[in-house]
Amino acid sequence: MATGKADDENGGVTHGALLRRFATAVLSNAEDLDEARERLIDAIGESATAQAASIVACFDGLNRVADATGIRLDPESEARGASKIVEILEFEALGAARSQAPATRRDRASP
Amino acid sequence: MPALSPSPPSQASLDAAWEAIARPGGWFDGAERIAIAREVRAARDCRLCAERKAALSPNAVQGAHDRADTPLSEIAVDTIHRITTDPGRLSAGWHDAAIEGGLVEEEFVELAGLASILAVTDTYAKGLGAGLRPLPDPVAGEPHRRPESGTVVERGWVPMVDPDAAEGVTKMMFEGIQARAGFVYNVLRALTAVPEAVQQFFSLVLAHYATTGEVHEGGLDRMQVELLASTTSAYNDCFY
Repeated sequence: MATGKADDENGGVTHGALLRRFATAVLSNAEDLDEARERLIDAIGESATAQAASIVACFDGLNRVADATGIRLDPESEARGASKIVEILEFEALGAARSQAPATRRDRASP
Repeated sequence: MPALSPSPPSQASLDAAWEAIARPGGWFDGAERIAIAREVRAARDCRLCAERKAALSPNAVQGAHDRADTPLSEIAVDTIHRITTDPGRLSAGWHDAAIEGGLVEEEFVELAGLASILAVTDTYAKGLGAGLRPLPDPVAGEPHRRPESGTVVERGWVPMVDPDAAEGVTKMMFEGIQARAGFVYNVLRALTAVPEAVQQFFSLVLAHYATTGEVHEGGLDRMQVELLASTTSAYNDCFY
């Protein structure tokens, strides 16, 4: 019988519980960081785990820029949803990747 | 288990960041910038910072920081330690005290940018299971100490360049963002009082971000990225 427990733990995100555990272990320098990393590697592979480390690192830095300078949330962002910063980073990063990489998923999808 | 390998764009951005922090900046010379980086790392093992972090209010605990052997002023050290160890409880009063204590606004901004760069590089290393990269030797030279024109204090505690008054590289950056997003995000304006700080921080962040799902085949999907971002911001008590 399906209990839905795994889905609850993941919050509807593929491997969400493992990703959350990894992020928290990195940020808190937890004793189980190595184990959290290994379990995430088992689930999503080394490359995607390195990407997860990138995202945590990016936002650890962005949080400090925001908090140290006292910036307010943009009213435009609030209107569109607070996760807008992910979207703008994607815009900017896509531009950077296009100038460096030979082909990407979006390049092929959007000729 | 051996450490994970950084992606080529991330590695290149880390190399560039290391060169950048060693060079003279806008308001600090290379030796001062490396001293700031050393202090960021010292803050993570600072007993006073740990006690403050555990306290109901950081102001309830007084004492001396476990600081690195650097010539930085006490107010600079306190500012670096607070940004590094307790960013979610910084306040306008804390910023004002740093300025009244002797930091110039642009020095404050450059210092915040450097602390944020070290947060990215060192958190990434931990995530990969790698050791912290030794800091580079400083490069000789003087900072330009030239105030950026067109700054206003309106969307935060620090002066930021008004998009309508921006010039040069900052103007080009704002125009690009405006064209894509329809407005200029405050987080992208936050460090603009020191253009070098903006360029160095966001070059690093965007290179790391360029390794993720939407721009890199086989990567994390958008919801996974959002989850990692929100988990990190929640851990840091950051509304952004």
